[in-house]
Formats: sequence, structure tokens, C-alpha cells
Amino acid sequence: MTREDIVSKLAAILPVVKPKLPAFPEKDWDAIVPGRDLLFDSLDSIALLFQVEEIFAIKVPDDDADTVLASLGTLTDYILARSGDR
Amino acid sequence: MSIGISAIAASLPEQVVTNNVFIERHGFDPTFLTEKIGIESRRWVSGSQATSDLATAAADAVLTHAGVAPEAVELLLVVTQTPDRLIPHVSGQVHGNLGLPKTTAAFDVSLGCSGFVYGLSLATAFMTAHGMDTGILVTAETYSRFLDPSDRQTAPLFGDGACACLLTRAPVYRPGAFTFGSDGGRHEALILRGSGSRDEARAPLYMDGRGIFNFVLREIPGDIDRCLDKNGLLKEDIDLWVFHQASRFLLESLTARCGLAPEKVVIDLLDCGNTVSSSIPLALSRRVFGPRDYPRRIFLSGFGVGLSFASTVLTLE
Repeated sequence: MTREDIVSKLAAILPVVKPKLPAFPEKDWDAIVPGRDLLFDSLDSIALLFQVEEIFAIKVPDDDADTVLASLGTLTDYILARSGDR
Repeated sequence: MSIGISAIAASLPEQVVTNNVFIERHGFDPTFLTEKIGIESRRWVSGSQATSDLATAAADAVLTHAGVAPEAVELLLVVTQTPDRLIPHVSGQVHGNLGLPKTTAAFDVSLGCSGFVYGLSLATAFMTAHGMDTGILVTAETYSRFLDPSDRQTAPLFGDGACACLLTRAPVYRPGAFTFGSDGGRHEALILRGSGSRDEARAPLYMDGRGIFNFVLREIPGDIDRCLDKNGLLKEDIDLWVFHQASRFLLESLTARCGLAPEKVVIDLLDCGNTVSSSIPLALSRRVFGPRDYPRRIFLSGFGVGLSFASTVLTLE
């Protein structure tokens, strides 16, 4: 799975990403995840992590959640690392 | 005639706790609590009020409303995880408070958010097995006594309250087949440490919000399908979906995941919060029995502490 494949799948669950595809250069990936610091450290983050785990068949431990959701870039890197591709 | 629900009554504490408390303490965005969580206020016990007081008031109310004498009650089943004390059981206290006959079977069941559906199955089966005609199923919780006011994950969510369902052989709604489930490996996802026989430090209620959210979205859609199949029904046969009223966020997520029509899914916790085992009967009381608006089939599903879940379908008689 390539980084582009991952971003394409993430577009389905990250509305802010979808309008920027296909012309969404990797240099602009460090942005865009839902707002944080709400109940449960962001209910949107909880829902997002649930969908990420399902779509990519990975587990995101609570301890990793903050760094994983720091940006689209870190999220993509995390998924890529756990999907076996390098 | 099979046993079913004839009437429902609720008892909520008088003390109203608005969101202002949590906005000031935790800096919440006000619209987050009302629009995302779905709560504007909740009722908490005060002074010396305890679970048996709410349970007694609810049971007394349902008997009065239905015009049934206490002498007729053959079963009193109380579902609670916040008894006044570990010993004796809450149903014993309620039995004494109401002056029920000495021939009444009175016992507690320890379950939370799935407790009403489990309790309905237990109560109807018990009454059927023993040839009983009149019983009361009570759900009652006072979670506010065990919350950490500084915990933004739990303090704003829970409300206290009790509901009592009168169960008879001339019901308004009869339950169909039930499905049940447990995931005890995750029992620490919602836990009150130091509250029983285990030698550990006392701690306020802890909840792993993310873990429970994931549990619900993974397990409940499948349980809904199993329950519908067991009852020979399809989703389109259901007129009203009444889930455990955990939060607006969870209910909307579950609705979307199951592909349900949002207008058929009850979300009703704005002025009461998450009342745990009472959330389903309270919603039934306010949306169905109170206004006498009786849809033909109502799907019930309770899920939460244990972790556990249970579902059934109510059919209008």
C-alpha cells in the first residue's frame, strides 16, 4: 500500500481531505485532522480512530493517539508503518 | 396471555445540575455539551437521598398510576449497581417501604446500561415460570455519588433516576425473543474500584470512553441483526428504536453505522443525562407511554458496563 493509497482511503472519512484530491501534494499533508480537546479527547478523534482501525486493519493504542492524529502526515506515516509497507 | 409492560413511571431527583457547572470547571464549549453529548442538565440526588428512595418512589408511582394495589405484587425485581449499601438488597428495602406482601419475591440484579433489557427478560421469565400475574421491574441508579467532579470524561454525562415498569398479563407491549452478549475481558472499561470485597483503594467511577465507543459500534450492529432474525423481523419492520441513551454522539454514530432512519431513533437525554439502566424505560415513558403514542414495534438495545448488551423487540398488543 502506498502513501497515496492511504490518503485516498482517508479521504472517505476525512471530509477536509476529499475536496483536495487528486491534486493534493504531499508537502501539504501536514494539516487537517478534526478539532481536539473535547470530551474523550475529541469525540471526532474517537470516531476517526475507530474508522482508521477498521479500514486499515490496524490497532491504534491510546498512547499513540495524540501523535497519530497530530496531522494528516503523521496519520499516514503511522498507517503506512503498520501496514507493512516501507 | 404472556407477560408484558402495562405501565411505566419514573422518579428523578429534584436537584437540577446544569451544564454551567462543567463549563466553568472544565472550560467546555457550551454547544459541545448540548449538541455533541446531547445534555443540557441532569438530576442528581442530594442530602441523604439514596437509590432505594428513587426506586420506592418510582414503584409507588407506577402502582398508583395503574390503580394496582400493593397486595397484588408478586415479583419486585430491582436492577441497580449503586445500592444504598452492599447489604441488604435494594428490593428488600423497597418491599418494606411499599408494604408489599410477604409472599412477594424481591431480589436485585447487578447490571448497568444493559440492565433494563436483561431485567425485562428475567422478570417476564420468572413470572411466567411461577404463574405470577403482577410484577414490578425497577431500574435505579445514583451514579452521581461515585463520580469525580474533576473528571471531564464522566462527570457531565450521568444523571440519577429510577423507573418502574408494571408487568402484567394484560400488557400494552409484549417483549419478543431476546439476545444477550458479554465481553467480560473488557470489564475494566467502566469500573468503580474499591467498592466491594476486593482489597484495593477506593476510587471514583472510571470510564474508558473510547473503548466503550468501539465496543458499541463493533458489537451492537451484529446483535441488532441477530435479534431481528430471532424475532423474524427486518429493520424496516421496526417503528421506533430505543437504545441505551449513552450520549447523542454515540447514538448518532450507531444510527449511521446500522443504516437506520434517524427520525426513528430516540435521542432523549437533554434534561436527564445518561441514567444508566433507567435510560431505556425513561425514554419509553416520555416518548411512548406518557403521550400514549404507541408504535407497533419498538426495538430495545441496552449496552455498557460489564461489558454487556441485550436486545429485544416490543410488540403492541
